[in-house]
Amino acid sequence: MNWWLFFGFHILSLVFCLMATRATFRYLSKYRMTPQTSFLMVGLERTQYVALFYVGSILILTLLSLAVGIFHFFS
Amino acid sequence: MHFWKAFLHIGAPRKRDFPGHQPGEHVELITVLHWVSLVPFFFQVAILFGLSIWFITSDLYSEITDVPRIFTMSIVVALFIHALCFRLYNYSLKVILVTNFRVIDIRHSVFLKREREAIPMFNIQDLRYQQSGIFQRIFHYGTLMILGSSTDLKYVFRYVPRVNKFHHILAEVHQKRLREQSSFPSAMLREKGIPPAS
Repeated sequence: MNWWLFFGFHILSLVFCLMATRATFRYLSKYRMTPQTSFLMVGLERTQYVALFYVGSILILTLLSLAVGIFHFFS
Repeated sequence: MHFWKAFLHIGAPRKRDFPGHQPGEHVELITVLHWVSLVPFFFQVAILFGLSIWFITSDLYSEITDVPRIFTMSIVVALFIHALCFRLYNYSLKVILVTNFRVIDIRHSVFLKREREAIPMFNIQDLRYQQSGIFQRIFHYGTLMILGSSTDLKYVFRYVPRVNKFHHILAEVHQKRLREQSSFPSAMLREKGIPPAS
């Protein structure tokens, strides 16, 4: 399999992940929440953990694919 | 860190309480659906993920293709992370809002869907909630029904968290709004100095 396809998939995946994260947070930032009104809400602050996991894991997979590609190239 | 905050619009000044906020309107309650609404999807994803990993690690895989297992494995993991997190993002964008004027059901998704339904308080005839079954009682969620002024108007919200509290707050706001409306003409007449009709 061509390694570039594999790496390209992960790069596109990372771009998509960043676009989705940005779109979500841009929208969620339009809500002004107070503890009195939003005690049942999963708001901006709690969605940050999802974003951290999402972007972090996709970034790690992209770097991993790069490392595998370099390993294949030199071996 | 500053880049991350700017990128995600965290800490940006907010002029309105929510998108579509009208003057004089103030928010009484904001909620998303209960997390139980995510459970069927997570079960499906877990089963599919397990089957995919089983297939990739089995002998059948090497008979079919010569693509290195690590390549396919990482692509499958990435796809499942996308599915999970995208669903969680969508979950956080589906919001039910109660303001002093109306109940707003916002059903947005990250990219593809923008849907909003507003029910004015004066259109609400009756409010009902239902919690049936052991799971609904244990996890404190249920179905809220808003009956409109005409017979065919019925709004059903499933997976409402703390549905009894939600119903209580909504009923209070509704009653308050009705009182304001019913006292509006006499208050206006008093302000103008016209004595109310006996």
